[in-house]
Order: sequence, then C-alpha cells, then structure tokens
Amino acid sequence: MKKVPLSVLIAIFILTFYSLSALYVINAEKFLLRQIVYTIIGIVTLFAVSSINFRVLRYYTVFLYVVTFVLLISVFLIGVVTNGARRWINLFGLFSIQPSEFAKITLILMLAWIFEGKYTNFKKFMLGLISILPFVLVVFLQPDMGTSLVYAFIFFIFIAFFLPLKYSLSIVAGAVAMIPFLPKILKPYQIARILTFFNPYRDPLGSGYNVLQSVIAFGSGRLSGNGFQKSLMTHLGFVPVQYADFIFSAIGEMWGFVGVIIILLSFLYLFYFIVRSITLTGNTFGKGIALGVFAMFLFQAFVNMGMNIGIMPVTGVPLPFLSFGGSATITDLIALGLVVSVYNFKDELSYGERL
Amino acid sequence: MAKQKFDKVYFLYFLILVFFLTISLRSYFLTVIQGNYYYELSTYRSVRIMEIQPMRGRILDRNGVVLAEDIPSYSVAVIIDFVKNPDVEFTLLSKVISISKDQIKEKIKKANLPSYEEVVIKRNISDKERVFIEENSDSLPGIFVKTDFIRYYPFKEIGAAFIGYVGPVTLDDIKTDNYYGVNDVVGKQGLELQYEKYLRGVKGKKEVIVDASGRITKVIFEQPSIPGNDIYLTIDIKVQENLEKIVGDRTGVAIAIDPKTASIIAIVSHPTFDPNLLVKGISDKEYNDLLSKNAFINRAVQSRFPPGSTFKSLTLITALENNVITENTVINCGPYLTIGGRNFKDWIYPSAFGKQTASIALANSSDVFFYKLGLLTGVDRLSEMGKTLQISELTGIDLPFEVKGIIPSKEWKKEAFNEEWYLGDTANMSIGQGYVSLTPIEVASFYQLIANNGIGLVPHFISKVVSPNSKIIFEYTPKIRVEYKFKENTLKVLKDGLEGVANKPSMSIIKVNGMSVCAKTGTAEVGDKEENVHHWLVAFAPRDNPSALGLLFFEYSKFPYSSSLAPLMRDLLKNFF
Repeated sequence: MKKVPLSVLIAIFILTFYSLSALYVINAEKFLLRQIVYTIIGIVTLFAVSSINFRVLRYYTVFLYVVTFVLLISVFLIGVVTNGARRWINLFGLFSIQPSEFAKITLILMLAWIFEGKYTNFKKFMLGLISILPFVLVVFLQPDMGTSLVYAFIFFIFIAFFLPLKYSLSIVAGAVAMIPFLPKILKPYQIARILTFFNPYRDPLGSGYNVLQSVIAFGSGRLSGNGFQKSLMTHLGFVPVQYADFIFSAIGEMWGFVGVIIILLSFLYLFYFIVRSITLTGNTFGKGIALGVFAMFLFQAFVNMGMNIGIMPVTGVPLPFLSFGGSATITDLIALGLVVSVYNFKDELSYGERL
Repeated sequence: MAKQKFDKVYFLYFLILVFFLTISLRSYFLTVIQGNYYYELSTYRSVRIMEIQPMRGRILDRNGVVLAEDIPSYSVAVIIDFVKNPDVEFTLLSKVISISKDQIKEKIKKANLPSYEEVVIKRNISDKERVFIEENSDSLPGIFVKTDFIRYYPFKEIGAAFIGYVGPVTLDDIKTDNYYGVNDVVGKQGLELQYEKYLRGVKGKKEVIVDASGRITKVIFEQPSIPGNDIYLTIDIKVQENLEKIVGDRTGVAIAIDPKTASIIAIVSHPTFDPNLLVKGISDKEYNDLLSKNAFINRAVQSRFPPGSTFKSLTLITALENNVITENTVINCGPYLTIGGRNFKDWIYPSAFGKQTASIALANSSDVFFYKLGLLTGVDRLSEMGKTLQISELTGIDLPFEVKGIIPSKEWKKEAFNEEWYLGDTANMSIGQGYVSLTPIEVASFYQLIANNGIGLVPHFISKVVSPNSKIIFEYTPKIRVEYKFKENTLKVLKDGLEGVANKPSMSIIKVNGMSVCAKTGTAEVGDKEENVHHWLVAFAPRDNPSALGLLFFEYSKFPYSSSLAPLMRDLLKNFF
C-alpha cells in the first residue's frame, strides 16, 4: 500500500482545521459534527483511492460516465429542491448526494481517457466537447451555473495543455463573441449577480447584499482576526450561506490576513504537488487526471475566494476543502486521492500499459 | 514536442501565481489597509445602541385628575440593514398596516437615517396588526414591533386649547436640541409645548448585540430611562367642563381666574380639537376642516379683538388719575357728539343719557360721555396709562405663541398708516373701538388688576411640578407684573360704575347669592355691517376682596345684546361659590 505524502496530509489538515473553526462559529450544532464525519469519510476515501493504480480506472471510465449521467438526469425526476435549484437526490431517506459534484471526477477521467487516445487533435477536441456538453447543459438547467462553469473550465485547460494554441485561442474568441447573447441564456437572478459584481452598490439590499456583507465580515478581521468570541458578523449570521459559498469571509473575520495567507500557502502547496505529479508522470492518462483536478481546484478556489472578497461575481461554487458539504468534501478528497495515485504510481506499469 | 509541453507546465505555474497574487493582494487591501473601516462597519451592524424612551410626565388638574398621560402602545419599526428583501417584505407589511409599499419607502427615505437605525413606520398599531407582524417575524426580518407609549387625553376636546398636544419632532427640533432623535415625540402646542422640558424625562440607553435579522441576542449594558415630571395645574377640570358647556357650539372664549393669585381655573376657546386625533394620526380632510375653523388657535391668547366698552374702564381711570374730572364732575350728554363734522352716536340714540357723573356713565356705558371724557383726556394720556398698566403687553401667561394687543398712540398711527391722528380716533379709542384691540386674556388681566386694587399678576396654569419619586421640584408663587398705586377715589368711582352695571335690571341675574358683583359688558362693532358684533362680559365678585373673575367673549355673536350674556356669567361665577 502506497502512502499519502505527509506534506499533502498536513495541507489537508490545515484547511480542514480552518473549515471546522469557521463552522463552529457559524453554527456548531448544525454543521460541525456533520462536516467532521464527511471529512473522515473523505480521508478514508483519499487513502483508498491513492492506493489504487490510476491506470486501472481506464476500464471503468465509460461505465462511470454513463452512471453519473443517469444520476444527473434523475435529479430532475426525483431531485430535492433547495434554494430554488434542483441539485440533490435523496438516497434511501438517509442522506442526500449532489451528483454534479461527483460528475467532476467522472468528467476528468473521461477527458483524460479521450486525450490519451490516439486521435487527431481535432477529434480529441470534438470527442471532449461531445462528452462534456451533456453534463454542462444538464447542470446548467438545475440551475447551477457555477458547477457547469467548472466543467467548462476543466475542458478548456485540457485543450490549452494538450492541444495546439489555436484551439484555446478560438475558444476564448468564441466566448467573447457569446457575451451579447448572455441576457437571453441566463436567468434574471444570474444577470443581476453579474451586474452586481461590477457595481455591488447598485442594489445594496438585493443581490449586492451578500457580497457587501461578505466583504465587511472579511475585512473586519484585520491582520490577525477576531477569533472565536468576537467574530460577530459570522457568529450572528450576517453573511448569507456562509457555511457553504461564503465560508472564506468567516475565515477572514476569524483569522484575519494571517489566516488567509496560511490557507493560500496550503493551496499553493497542493497546486505545486499536482503540477509536480503532472510533470513527473509520463503517462498521458495520469497527466490528464492531475491536470483536470488542478483545473477544478484552481477554478473553484479562485472564483469562490474572489466572490467572497468582491472581485468575482456570485456563482455558487464551493471552496475546495473548506465549504461545508458532504458531496463536495468527498469529491475534493477523491480528486486529490487520484492525484496522489498518479504521483505514487508514476513509474509503475499496469497490465497492458502503453508507453 | 517536448519543448512545447515544458512551456505549458510553466503556464500552469503562471496560473497559480495569478491566483495567489490576486487573492492575497486583495485580501491584504481589505484586511490590513481597510480593516479598521470594515471592523467599524461590522460593529455598527451587530452592536446597536438603542434609546429607551422615557414615559412622558402627566398633566393633572388642581385636584389630581389626569388630563394627559402616556399609555402603552405598539409601533412598527424597520431597520433597513436587516431587511432581506424590501419589496417582498414591505408588500407583506402593507397588507396589514394599510400603508403602501411606496409610502413605507418614502418614510424611510425621509427619516434620512443610517441604514442600521430604526425608523418608525406606524405608531399605535392595533392588536391585529401587532399579532400579524409578530407571527410573521420570520418572513419579515428587519421589521419589528416596538413597545412604547402614546399620549392619551382622557377629556378629549375639553381643555385641549391650553393642554395642547404632542407630535413627531421636526428636523428643526432635532437641530436645535440634541436630546431629540427622529422617532421622538415633542410638545407641539399648549402646555405640552410650554413645559416640554419638565415633561419629557430622560432617555435611557441599551447596548445590545443583534443577529442578522436584527433580533436582540444579548444585552451588554442597560441604563433605564427616567420618566418625565408631573405638572399640576391650577385648572379645575370640573369647572372647565362647565365652562365648555356655557360656551357650547358658539365661537368664543370663557375664562375663570382667581383674581387674588391670577391662577387660571378654566379657560375655553371654541371651536377646538380632540388632541387624541392628532396623536393617533388625523386624516387630511379632518385636519383641514379643523384648520378652516381656526380650531388650533387658542382665541384667549392668540387672537386680538376690539374690546368695546370693556375698555371704558381705562378711559375712566386715565381721566381720574390725571385729574381731568373728579367723582362729582357732571357731564351733560346728548344723543350724539359731532367731531370734525361727523356724528358719533350714543348706543341709546336717538335717546340720550343727559347729565351723568362718571360712575353712572360707566354703569350706563354711555358712549357720548366717554367720547367727551376721551377728548378731554387726550390720546397721549390714554395710551400712556395703557402702557403704565401694561394692558396691551404680553401677560406672560404660561402658554406658547401669546400675542400682544394694540393701544394706539399718535406715533403708532404715524408708523402704521403714515397718517395724522384725528380727534375722531380719540373718540373711537375712548370706547374701545377703532384701532384698539386686545386679547381676551389681556382684558381679563386688566380686570384682575382692577379687582386686586392695582396689583396685576401674571395669569398662570402651573401650580407645581412633581418628580417621578414624588418630590416637589417646583412650586409656583404668584408673580406681580404691574403694581400701580391708584388715587384714593379712582377705584371707588370705577367699582361703583362696574357694580352699577351689575345692578341694572337686565344684568342683575349675575348676582350669585345676591352678592355684590362688578361687571362690564362690551359690544364691539366689526366691519361695516351693524349686525356684526363681538360681545364681551367681564365680571368679578364680590366687589370687595374678590375671589372670582370671569370673562366671556363671543365672536360674531348671535346674542341680541351684551347683557344677554349675564345668565351665562352667573353660571360661570357660580363655580367659585
């Protein structure tokens, strides 16, 4: 059994500590124990996944893809509506899962598998597009714009990394050309969020409220934070959905700039570890897995933190390892486990390995 | 191929760098550079200092009957910071409090307060409204029911003219006195305004921590409010009620004063208003209706009228004090007097009073006698005496917005009209017509001075101020405003004349218990029409050492003669004995 590098575990423990500290102040009774359980399940999964040779996953990729897609569709049929979006399915009346979270992993495996294949660049691009498009659309309709953007970004990074520059450039150009059509595609609240992003004072009571409250809470932490007792904005619930999307503002208030830097350094180390895994493994499937996980974490961290500090629109993307949530936490740790597996099994061949 | 991939890994490092620099620099800016600002903002949002409104002091009559007091009431208030969805919440609220969503927004805008302060939307809400808001508090974050007080006037219209009323503070109040906040009430009229500082009490303070819905989670510090002081008046509300009945629906004034102290026992100005309506909120229609009737004006102190024959006492005093005549001087009076080619008729015209002494002429209220007397005395001495006795000066009554009367002089006319003074003006002035005009309280004060043999006192309502812990913190002692030493005979002649008025057959009903009463009627012509008159009747009793003084005044009177007021005056004086 391969080991998970100690430095990776330390980074996870640091992030988990900050997450739990914030949840303790936000609403210990409601979130703390549950998040501890999710994290334990997640870490067990991390160890399990990291001891599997990632190469084996090739044979399950298509199967997982189909199962995930069925789950995503079933959300529409038997899903639970929360906050105006249908994202969860209830399993056996015991707990709810959010298939769109797990779908990130399936998608990463699928793209890694496609880009490892012996296709032309254009065919890789088309196959990738065909495989992610149903996921993006289904999730977008839940509606969950944030997660569908995560899928799209993962795909974009694959193209940018594996394909010649002209592909990524034409995608950027295409995205820019799409902007005038956005009002027709997006829901009114999504447009409001984007407008609010450009001017949060446009409607301080409406859609700008969350961001203003979040920024105030975040900034009020000053250099070293207000600690457990005096983080009033967090303690008294001034920031909406702070346990999930806005947990970073709680960390700002509680731990100040020092805490924020420690969290950023932990992420920095994890990103470094992932990029190292990409460069160390010669296996394109492995490179693809690590690359996808990198894209997923980077995008989510940047967009989520950015919206907490008022430089990104509100898009409902969880902050990896920090936001409350079972599906998200376990997905993050599985994803990291896959990277550890790529790192651990970089030199080993499995049966039928093509060099 | 290999070189290209090498480059792309650096692209990934580049992305990490962008991420790290963007987030860390922005975080540095928010926490380290602007941290204190946000920290202050965050405390504004969670720590709130709330005012505790004190209970306003009561106003009581001389027997301790409550005329004005605070009773518990509920208001609905909004704190904008805690409102999650203004349109939805205000629409829900407007369904139950009958104030539209836009009006609510307008009120909040007009209050012009920081968004973390509470703005009262509606006072004195009903139990139904209160229960609705409390039951729906989860759907109405930032909207609260507040327990506070509302002013209540148990006697409604009775005494409203001097009690006054309270209302919301104005921006000027807030600017001039930093005691006030935007949600306060303040005395607007009458004694409520006059004794505001005694009545308002001391505000308390409460420092609390609130949650995101604005609900109090913890009280850090509390300093209770101190209720206002109770004001005891010299008013007797029973007498007040009787006087209101005497005036009835007519437009007019009734005053009852103790002449020895100038304590006001009752004072009526009709039409008047129900102060409870103003406190609870009055419709524009009702308000304009009252406004058009001048219901908010206390005619006793805020309106001037020609005093008519009640002014003859001053003409008589001036002539006697200046030795123009003596008590025995007889003047022969025809039916009229021609001055400057114009005939000035006596009221008895075409008949005539013939030969009269001063006291008989006063009892007859002979106009010709007083024309002659006035001409003999001269305008200068008349207005001089008016000044000496301070007849047209502010009486200093403890009510706001008192106005001054007018006793003209040559200089006054020159200034007011840029015209010379004519003898005809003197004649008119001598009988209380022409340019002379006085407020009813000035006329009453003048007769109080006569009744009290030259000592004029400040008319007043207040008797004492009692603190919430039953300590007397102020007790009124009569204040002398004029002290004049009359010549020996002046008061005798004057009072003989005034007693003569009361002894006339048409007037003698005024003599309560057969006691000697001094009285003076007055009929003031207004405008050109002869039927447009104001009627006056002022009286004090008994003649020596009087203990009662009453005044009745009816604007555009419907009575045939001023003597028709005698039975009403009898009812008024009866209250004293």
